[in-house]
Amino acid sequence: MNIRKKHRIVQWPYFLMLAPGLVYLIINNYIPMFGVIIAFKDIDFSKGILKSDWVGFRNFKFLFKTSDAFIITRNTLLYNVTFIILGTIVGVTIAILLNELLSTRMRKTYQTVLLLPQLISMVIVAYIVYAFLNTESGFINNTLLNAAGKEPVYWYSEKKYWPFILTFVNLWKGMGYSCIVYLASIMGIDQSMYESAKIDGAGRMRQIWSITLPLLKPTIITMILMSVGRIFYSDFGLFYQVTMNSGALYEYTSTIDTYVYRALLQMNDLSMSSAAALYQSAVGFVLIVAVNAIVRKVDSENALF
Amino acid sequence: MRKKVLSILLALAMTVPMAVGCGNQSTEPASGDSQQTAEETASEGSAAAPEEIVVRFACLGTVPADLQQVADAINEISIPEINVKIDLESVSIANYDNQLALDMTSGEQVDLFCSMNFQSMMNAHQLMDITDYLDQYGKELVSEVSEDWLKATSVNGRIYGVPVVNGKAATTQIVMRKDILDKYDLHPEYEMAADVTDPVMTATIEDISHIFSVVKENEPEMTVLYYPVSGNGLSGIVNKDPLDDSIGVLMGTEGFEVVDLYETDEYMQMLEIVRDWYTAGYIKSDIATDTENEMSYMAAGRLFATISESEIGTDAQYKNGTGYDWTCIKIKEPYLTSQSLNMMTWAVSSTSQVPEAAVKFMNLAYTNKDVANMMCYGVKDVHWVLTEEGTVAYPEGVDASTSGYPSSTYWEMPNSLIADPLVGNTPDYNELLRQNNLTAPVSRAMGFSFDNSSVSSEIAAIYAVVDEYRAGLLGGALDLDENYPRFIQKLKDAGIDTVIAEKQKQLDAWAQENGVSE
Repeated sequence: MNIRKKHRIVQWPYFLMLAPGLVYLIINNYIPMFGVIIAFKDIDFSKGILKSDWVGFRNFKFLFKTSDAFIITRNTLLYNVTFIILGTIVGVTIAILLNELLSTRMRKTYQTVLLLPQLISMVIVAYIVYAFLNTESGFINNTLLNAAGKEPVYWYSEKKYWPFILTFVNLWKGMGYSCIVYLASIMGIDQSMYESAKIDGAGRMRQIWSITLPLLKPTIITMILMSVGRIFYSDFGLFYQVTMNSGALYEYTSTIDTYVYRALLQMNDLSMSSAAALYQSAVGFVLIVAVNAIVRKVDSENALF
Repeated sequence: MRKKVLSILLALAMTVPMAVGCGNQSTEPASGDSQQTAEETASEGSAAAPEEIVVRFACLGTVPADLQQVADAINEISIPEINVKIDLESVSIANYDNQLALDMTSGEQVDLFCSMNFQSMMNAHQLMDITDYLDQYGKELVSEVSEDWLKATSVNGRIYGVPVVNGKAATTQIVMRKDILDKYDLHPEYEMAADVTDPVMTATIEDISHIFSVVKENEPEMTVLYYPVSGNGLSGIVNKDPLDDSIGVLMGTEGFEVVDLYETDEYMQMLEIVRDWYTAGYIKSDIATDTENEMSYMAAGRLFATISESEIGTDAQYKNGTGYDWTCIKIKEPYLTSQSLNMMTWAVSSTSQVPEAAVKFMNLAYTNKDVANMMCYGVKDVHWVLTEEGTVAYPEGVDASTSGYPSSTYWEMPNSLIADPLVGNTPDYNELLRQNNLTAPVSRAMGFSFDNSSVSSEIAAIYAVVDEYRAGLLGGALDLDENYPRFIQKLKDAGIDTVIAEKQKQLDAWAQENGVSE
């Protein structure tokens, strides 16, 4: 008991240090949650938020009105699943490759080069893509296809290419960032393990397979869990800017975010946009709890909670 | 012990928001108090202190730097005249509606503003019923604007706003480079046609196509036709009353049957014209994704023609913006509908505490030439000068980008017809606009307004469908055989028939109530 008491007293400063963060969290993340009631109300500006009429789930109806509900849900989920799988594979591969580089200078250079796209705003990325794909003056139509003697492609009205274009752009932009996290945890692996593996006669590939990857597993699982929680959100810039918001592509490029944005931009309706946001959060919450439950079953040590 | 720590934390967690809440509560009465004391001290003085209102309008891009200076100058007139002191605010047009909604929910003072979205603001209860205030304080305003026009901003006989007074008879114009026309000895002259089915229109389109083919052949470096598809494109040549939102419209000039615009033969006919132009290579091939303003291509000398929905004076605007001379010809008769009148409306915020003062000021702004000039162009001899022929120009060394109050937003000000016209126009410009306003045909459904609250989810879904196809169809980039039937089917899936039925019901009731016969 006495010893315990001492422990508590020693911990006090930590709680004190926690306080500002906690206050920030409460003010910024918890108090605004009161706003979810907007999703269930018919906002009347003369009455204010609290006194506006309750309308139940009416504001959610428009999301499920058309076949679009299926298309946008499908697009959002499939794109995100692709991004998570490919992003993880590419991120881990690059991290391992970088780690194998002996020269620190080269590693730093590669890392910086890989990270650069992450720092570019999506709007600018959109115009870089546009410079390649523009029908009249784009690089691909004007130079590549022209030299190959092929007909120009109307990229912004041919939807079949876009799943590949978007995946490519997303990987190109995101891989530098995700590999940093993996690289950091690889660097944290105790070097003596590699040394003893070497003594036992394990080659490079064997070391990667039996030491690096297993030890990287917790990081990979945490990263995946965090992405899964956002699986119902899409990168608005990627799907809106990079596609130049071209109507002809919607079937393959429309996601929940862009759909809601476009629909509500014209409606000027606070309640419906809140309803859509709440729907996204609720499904995201259910998904993260579900995936975490699965992880806990399979490998309880690595579960988030 | 552990429980104790936890409970302290919990208590902390709970008191923080409470403290925040208290903070909010304690500031509110405080500000109320100060207002009250201000009023009290005012009433103690000999003359009552002026009532203060906040007036808001949209700006293009950056907020004008000299708002305060302009407000002060206006107050020099408004305080002695009506004892109202204004504070001018401006928000970029890009987030104007959202900012307004936010400010209204958070209780910030906004009393009078230019609404660019009458119907949706009406549905969101953002506008105040000002009928009684207008009776009391707005007599001159009503006679200046005319009671007929106020119908467009009324719902169930109550007035919720006042249309901006300017040239309302805007219509589809074809705009072509004058020097190129002259070079090939082309002298187009067109009569205004009543509808796309009108033989006059057929002849016009044929002649325009001929001109396009000549230019296409002889000026290979030039794009023949481009217009931003965010606008209306050529769809203005279909004669219709959009009944607020173009979802369910009245076609032609007779009858009260609400129909799906996109399904009509007239609309299809218009789409075919555009598609023909596109396949002939006249229209810029990436029109559907190009968001560039037509002016930049025109100024670069790369573009021969564009389509504009506007009033007379367009040639002066294009000349100012591009440096070239342009031939602008109206090809369709204008058609006044509720929407063309209430597209821009000055309204009192439903959260306003001082609606009387707001309406008093509205009355002044719609009828006093000096106030109108200041709202449109800023302070005389600072932001603008009067030229010898009586038009408004920037002073030496000042232009739209350097002016502290650019004249580029004059069109949203309450009454630009009593203000002086902008440079480049003839001195009798406003007289001509007034004339056109009076002679333009008026829709039989003028004054009808659609309450879409019962079908708002269908409308959101329909907007999403229209958004998917409109750029491709209006620009001619989509193949009609393949896409048009799909477009129509998707609209049906989204519930356009439900909206049309609801609109028909409301329109019938409105027609009966107002004694409008077929």
